[in-house]
Amino acid sequence: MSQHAIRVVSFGERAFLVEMGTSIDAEVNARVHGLAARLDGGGHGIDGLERCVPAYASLLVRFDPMRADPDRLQQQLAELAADVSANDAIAGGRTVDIPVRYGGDDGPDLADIARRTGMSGDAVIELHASVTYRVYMLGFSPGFAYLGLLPEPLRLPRREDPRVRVPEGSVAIAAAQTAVYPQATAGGWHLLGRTDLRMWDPDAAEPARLRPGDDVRFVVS
Amino acid sequence: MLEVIEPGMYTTVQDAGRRGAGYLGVRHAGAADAIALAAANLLVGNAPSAAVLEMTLLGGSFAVGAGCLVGIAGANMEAHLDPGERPLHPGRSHWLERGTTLVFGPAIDGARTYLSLAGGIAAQQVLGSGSTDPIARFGGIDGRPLLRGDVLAAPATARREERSWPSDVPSSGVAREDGPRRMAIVRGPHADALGDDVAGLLTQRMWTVGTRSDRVGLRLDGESIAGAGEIILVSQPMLPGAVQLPPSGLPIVLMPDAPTIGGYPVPAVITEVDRPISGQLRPGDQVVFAWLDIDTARERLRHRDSLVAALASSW
Repeated sequence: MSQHAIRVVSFGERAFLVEMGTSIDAEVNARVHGLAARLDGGGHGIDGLERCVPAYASLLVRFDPMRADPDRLQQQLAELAADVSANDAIAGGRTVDIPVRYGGDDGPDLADIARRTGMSGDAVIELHASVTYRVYMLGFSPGFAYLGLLPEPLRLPRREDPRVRVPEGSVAIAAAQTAVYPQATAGGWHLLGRTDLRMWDPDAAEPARLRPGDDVRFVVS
Repeated sequence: MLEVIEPGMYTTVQDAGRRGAGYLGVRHAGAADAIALAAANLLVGNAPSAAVLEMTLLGGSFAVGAGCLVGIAGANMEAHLDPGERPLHPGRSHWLERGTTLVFGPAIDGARTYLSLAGGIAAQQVLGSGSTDPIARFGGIDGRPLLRGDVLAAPATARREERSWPSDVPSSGVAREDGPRRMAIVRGPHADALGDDVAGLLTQRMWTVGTRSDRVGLRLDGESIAGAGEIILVSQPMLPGAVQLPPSGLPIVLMPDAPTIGGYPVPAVITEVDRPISGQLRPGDQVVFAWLDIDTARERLRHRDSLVAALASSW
């Protein structure tokens, strides 16, 4: 596929946004995380960078203007972004299995999802658990990993009436994504099941169970 | 040491917030008025980013369990010690004797008041910050706003002198005169995509702070800007200070508790020097934006930081 024009634009006085694409695309996302790994890994000779924040197709780089010259940094980011390939990010990716209790009280929306997709509950579960998902980014709440891409037949818009409190560990779907809620929070996704696997531990060396580039499989338990 | 008698409307422990944790989905948090945070701390001899209390619109009352030096900055909540005692003004530090009661009232000229303790308030440290994240429920005191009976402790320090903040350096984002609050903005990542008309309307129109504003976002009311809904974005990283333009055409200014990613275009970002103003806005306040080029904004930031650094080293 053709590579989207890279754009490096300022986001306030001490941050740049690097846009590497405009859609949810595995290859663009891999390049985003490849650039993040390079910037966070050092060896580029740029001082004063904070750990960057990667998203689907773009990446935020916050810097210390006392240590990095903004104009020069903007140029360096453009060059690094152009140089990075989708293969950079794959190296560190792990495969994580997440055991899920589907349906019942753990997945209160399973019946509704089945009705709306015209499938049986078992077929919904089987399809959801049949795919190896990629972690595209973390966001929304600590350790909340956006996983994609969900098989087409399961794609539904978010709930019209978001829940005030989704239980911790809920496995949910919305549009082309699936995720596990790491904490009990408000949420508008459809709840399919629940896992006991802890997704977030702020005291751990790596607080988030999942990191971008990981592959994730849901396992019926 | 202070014990909470009444917590006030919404009081949390805040410092300069969490840097470099956005990649985990962890929000920045931290004081909404960064200059008042620095002032409250420097007034009691703390590092400028030590943990303090941030009180919102209506302050709390506190029993003084052990003699301590406190600093007050930000909005004037007409603090006083026990009824009829001397008023304690913002922009000053005050020695409090054991057994007295420190009482704050409603804010009369801004939204947020900062109370520091010499030595810094002991807070739950998570990912390099003691700021309260009420959504993740960590930091500060059990990751929540203060409740009656909470105890605010600070490490023992040598007795320090009361101080006054110099009048020629702003000690907060509180308005010094009447009229709409003016905030300088720099072009945001989607200014080009939204076009010159949107950029022009953002500064030509007067905005009113909506009642649904909080530490996540300031919702601005006014005559909506057409055309914002035509920009479709996949979710991008966000930062406090971003001015988002959702399809409603009514801007939302992201505050410290905003999520790390978002899907609305960002035509502008509030300059860091003027961001404390956003932390002192109250529902109903009027706001105007003014464009500033990024180089000038960076120069203003350097100047502001050097003033605060000079003050910190002179004390």
